[in-house]
Amino acid sequence: VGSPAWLATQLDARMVAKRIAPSGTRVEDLPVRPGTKVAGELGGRPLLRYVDYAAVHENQRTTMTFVCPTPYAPADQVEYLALPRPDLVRDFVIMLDPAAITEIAGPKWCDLGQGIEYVLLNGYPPQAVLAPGWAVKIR
Amino acid sequence: MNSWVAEGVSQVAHELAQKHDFTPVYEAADRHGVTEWLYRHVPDPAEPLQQYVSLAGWVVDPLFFQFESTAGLANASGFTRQTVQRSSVTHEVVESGQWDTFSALLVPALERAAAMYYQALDADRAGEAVVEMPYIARRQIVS
Repeated sequence: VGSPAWLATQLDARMVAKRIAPSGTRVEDLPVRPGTKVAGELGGRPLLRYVDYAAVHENQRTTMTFVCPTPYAPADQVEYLALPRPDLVRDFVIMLDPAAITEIAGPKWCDLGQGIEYVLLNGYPPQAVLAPGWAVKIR
Repeated sequence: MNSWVAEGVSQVAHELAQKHDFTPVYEAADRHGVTEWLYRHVPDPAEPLQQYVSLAGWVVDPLFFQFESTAGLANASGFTRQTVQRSSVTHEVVESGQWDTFSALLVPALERAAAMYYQALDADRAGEAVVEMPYIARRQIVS
């Protein structure tokens, strides 16, 4: 049975065409833009942070945090995003409003993966978490 | 992960990676719930294969962290990666500054990345296209 992950990634790549840095690009070499610019690039779509049940109520971060624009089923996340701790089931997603985040680096192709990533250099503030204000179950 | 733990791990991992000619792609970045350090090395500019090693860590409970190291290869058309080692580290070990624990995790990954690289070169010269399929199944490296 196929997965829409490949198609979703390709469509996102098309949406941000010519702006995606190659994998291997150091974070410090990525272009940094205000979140409002990235919000325009994504056409109103959120940035996604996949988490497990234990992090459902996380509502802010202050350190460098990777996010992606593409919806993936838990079974596809490890392969597409080359995630560490591959046995962790990340079946919840925190949806973030890029416009509420000051600085965002990227996008870049994932290292050792096939997905597209952005980097929140200083994490994200509570006001960036979209309704309902916590992670929602992927279903 | 506490920032001072991340800083301590960053320092030892950075120094070790540099010693093996690896440069950081990112250090102490959260990737969907896990803190990760990723380093990259291009042994030969004429050869498109790139080596990667990573260290990742997360808090298990008030007593333990868990860390894992991986080795990987990538070129323009594919990539492969495997988990090399996973270890539990007590908070006590970290708090007492026993950073050599992290060298013991990262060194086997650096060695594994080198072995994968030479295996890929040999396979390429023999007209084969396969390195090996790792624990985290990915596309095969092709020449």
